[in-house]
Amino acid sequence: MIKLTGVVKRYRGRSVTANAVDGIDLDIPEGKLVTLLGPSGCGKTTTLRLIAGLERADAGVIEIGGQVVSDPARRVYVGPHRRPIGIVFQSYAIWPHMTVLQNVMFPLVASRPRTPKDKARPLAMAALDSVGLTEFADRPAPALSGGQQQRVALARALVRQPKVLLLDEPLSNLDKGLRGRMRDEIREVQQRLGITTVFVTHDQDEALAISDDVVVMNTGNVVERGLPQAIYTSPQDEFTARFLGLSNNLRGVVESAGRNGALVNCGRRTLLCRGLANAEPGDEVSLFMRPESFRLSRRQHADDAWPGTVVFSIYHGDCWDYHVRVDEDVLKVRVYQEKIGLTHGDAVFLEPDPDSTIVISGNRAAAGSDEPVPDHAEV
Amino acid sequence: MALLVDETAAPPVEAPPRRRDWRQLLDPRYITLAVAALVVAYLALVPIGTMVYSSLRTNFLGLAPGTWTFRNYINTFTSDGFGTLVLNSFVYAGATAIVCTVIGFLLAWLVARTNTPGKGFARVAALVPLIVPGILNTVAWSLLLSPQRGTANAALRHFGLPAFNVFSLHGMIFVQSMHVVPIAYLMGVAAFASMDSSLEEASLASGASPWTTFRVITLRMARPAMLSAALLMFIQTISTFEVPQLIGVPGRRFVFVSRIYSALQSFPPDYGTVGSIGIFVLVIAAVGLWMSRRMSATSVVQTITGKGFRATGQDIGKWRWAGFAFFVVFFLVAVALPILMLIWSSLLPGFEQPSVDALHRLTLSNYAQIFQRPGLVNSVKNSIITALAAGLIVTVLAALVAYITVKTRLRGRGLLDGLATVPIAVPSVVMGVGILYWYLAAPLPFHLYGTLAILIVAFVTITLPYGMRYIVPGMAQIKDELEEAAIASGAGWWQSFRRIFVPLLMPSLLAAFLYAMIVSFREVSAAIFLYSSGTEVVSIQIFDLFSNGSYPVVAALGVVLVLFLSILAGGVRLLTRRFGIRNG
Repeated sequence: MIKLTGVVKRYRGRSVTANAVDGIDLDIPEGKLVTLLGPSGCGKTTTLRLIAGLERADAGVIEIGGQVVSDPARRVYVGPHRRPIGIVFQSYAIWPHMTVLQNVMFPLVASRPRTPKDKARPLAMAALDSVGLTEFADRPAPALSGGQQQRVALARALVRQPKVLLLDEPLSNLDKGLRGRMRDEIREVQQRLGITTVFVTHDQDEALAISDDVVVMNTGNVVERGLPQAIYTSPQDEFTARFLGLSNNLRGVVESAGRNGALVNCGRRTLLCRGLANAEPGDEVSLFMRPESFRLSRRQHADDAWPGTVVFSIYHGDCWDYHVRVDEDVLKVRVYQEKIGLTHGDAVFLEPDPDSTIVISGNRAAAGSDEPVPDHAEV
Repeated sequence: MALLVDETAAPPVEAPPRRRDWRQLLDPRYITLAVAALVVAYLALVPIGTMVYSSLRTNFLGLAPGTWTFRNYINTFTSDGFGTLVLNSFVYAGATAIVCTVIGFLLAWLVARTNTPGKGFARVAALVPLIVPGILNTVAWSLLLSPQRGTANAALRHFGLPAFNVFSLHGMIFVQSMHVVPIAYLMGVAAFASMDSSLEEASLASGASPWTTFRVITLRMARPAMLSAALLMFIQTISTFEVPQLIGVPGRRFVFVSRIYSALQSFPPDYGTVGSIGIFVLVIAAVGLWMSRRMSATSVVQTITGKGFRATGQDIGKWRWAGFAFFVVFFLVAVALPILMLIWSSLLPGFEQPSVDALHRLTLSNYAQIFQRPGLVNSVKNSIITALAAGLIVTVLAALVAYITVKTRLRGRGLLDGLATVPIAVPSVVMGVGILYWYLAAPLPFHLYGTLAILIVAFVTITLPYGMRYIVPGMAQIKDELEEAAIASGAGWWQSFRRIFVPLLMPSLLAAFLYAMIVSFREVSAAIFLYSSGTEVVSIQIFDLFSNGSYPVVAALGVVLVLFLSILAGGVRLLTRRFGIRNG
């Protein structure tokens, strides 16, 4: 439904001219919800705005529903008002000088071919009904709460029955409780209508929960694309792993490889990794472990458990977070369902879970490993 | 205006014991603040009060005792020509308001919201007229567009076009518009910069064409700001003196301001007419200002903002070259022509049209005169003294008043804040006459009339609201804890004010000081009623010399004044930029 081929968007700064979108290829199949996920400045919003036509691409081809809407090489550019799109902005962008109904009717009466007012009204009411706001139709738009405004924005985006729905961080202005509800509502509407949707977010939980497909982006490029569960459980790229909260990272060397996996040596410790099939002894790899994947105990239950010392502890109510020093590394460990916490200086043993340890082989790990990525990027 | 006493002011939790009351009142903090409050109340209320009084008295300033009467109003409102006077005034101010709001907002939109080339240049071009005093703008345009000798008219005739007679109602509208466009532009920039561009993008994405979007969304969102700006321009225009006097009077087009002046100049002065027209203009200005404030307060634009706010330039395609052409034409007409005219006439011994021949007679002798003619030297000295004094007093006063209104819970601080902004609503002409009357008529133990002090009083009153505008936001930024920490460290109130507030506020204070100086230097409308022989300031000297036809010296004085004011304005800009002072 949407196809981007080699799309480039440059931002001309005073001193630096950077590519906000750096030759991106993207294919979004009909009826799917695809999320563009990445930290701020990764080019995800620019990509969305390029699809909408709010930005002009510098190179590459953009197609919507088989129609080329942007191709600078052939001087093709279709303005946003002639593209079959509906868009929801982060700031909702509800026009404050109109009522709720006028907002939702606007796409019908302003776009060509124009819908006569007597036909537009029932259509707009139906759209409001689908987001549960019929009784607010005649209210002035600013009199609504954030969640209600977001619903109006969604109704306005859908009222024209566009081919493509574009959502630019639609949930980030809502408070936490509402966010989940709104997210499910958007997903429900999207599946009911079967509308092709591009969803931009920096929130991994949102992306995993809502998508058919997640596209991880960084520095204007697609890093990785896959099903949410695939992206989460077995990221193929170090950037993805870090961005999805895999905060423990160890470097190691493959000692021996076999049918059961590879034995990886990190410093004075070894770990059998099942996910590594065709490794050669001597390969450098990067290991990622989730904080909750360790088994932590005061006594040594297994021979290959790693001895360590608690250096820092935080109580969260449902869990404890510990920073455990193991040799020269400090690992983050999260323990659920524990009543008595450990304190600074306690000696502990860590058992890593070989099944959930993610191994990324050296050449992939080397790419982009210098980029510092926050644990939970801007949540 | 917040003229009401803030009744929510919390009473002290524990009333202090009664016998300590007198000691509390002798606290230097209360004495300082009380004095500041009294001074502000005196400055704001005395001119208006005197004006009202004069308009309701017979035989005001006469030797015989007068009585209370409405006769002045009745006589004025029923006199021949009053209808024409009102019509002229409203057409003049109304048309000016519309013209400069349209031009100013168009410039602002092009600069703030589109990809028109040459924006940096346009920003400067739009603000230069702010530095050129109104009196010089008026002088330059009457040299350019006088029907017989005007340089621009000579050029128009040369190309076979009809000449433009500036001494007419549309001439007044044109000249005044060129002068006040920057204010409309600044208000426009503020409005467009605070408008979330996703509101426009949502419209485009809804299928509305760019033109529909501009009409239905952009213009509609800017409407409250435009109306508010137009009202302010209206007030500004109806209450200033330069254009009505220097352009309107030669063209026999009288408006309120020039009528007031002529009534005072006649012999015997017609105080009744002055008072009643003055109060009439005051009421118009107050109502206009109130409507303007309401308009911008109820503006819906600011009510929806959130994360993801962007105000970006919109691609307007080929139209951006039309926008660029507009920048260039505006620059040539509003900036280049008048300034070049002043420079040209300042370099010639007598007024003549630009020609190759005239280049041989170029001379700096007009500039030398500024330092030689005793009257001129004296006026420069007077201007510097009055502007410096007014700047200093306003800065101190505004800082103290801002402290009271922002940092204390004293009862009546809302009223004080209101009083400090009252002078905005008082047309400068009314202010000048009111002050004049007070110091002529009031039984005071000292005489200010005929001294520089009376000019300083006027400049302080007029610039006080501007000083407040720079200092109040600066004061609000300083957290209470900083003062509390100083007092907890053992500093007294005065010490903490001096050692904590003053240094932290320094950029705002300096900006307020420089701005007050700029306004004082340019002021004509009030000063024209208050100067006497020996206390002329530069702006008055320009008015006098121009009336006498000494154009070259006027031009030279003007060029020097503009240069000097540019330096002051550069200082303000540097301060506001570097320290991020919010500039209204």
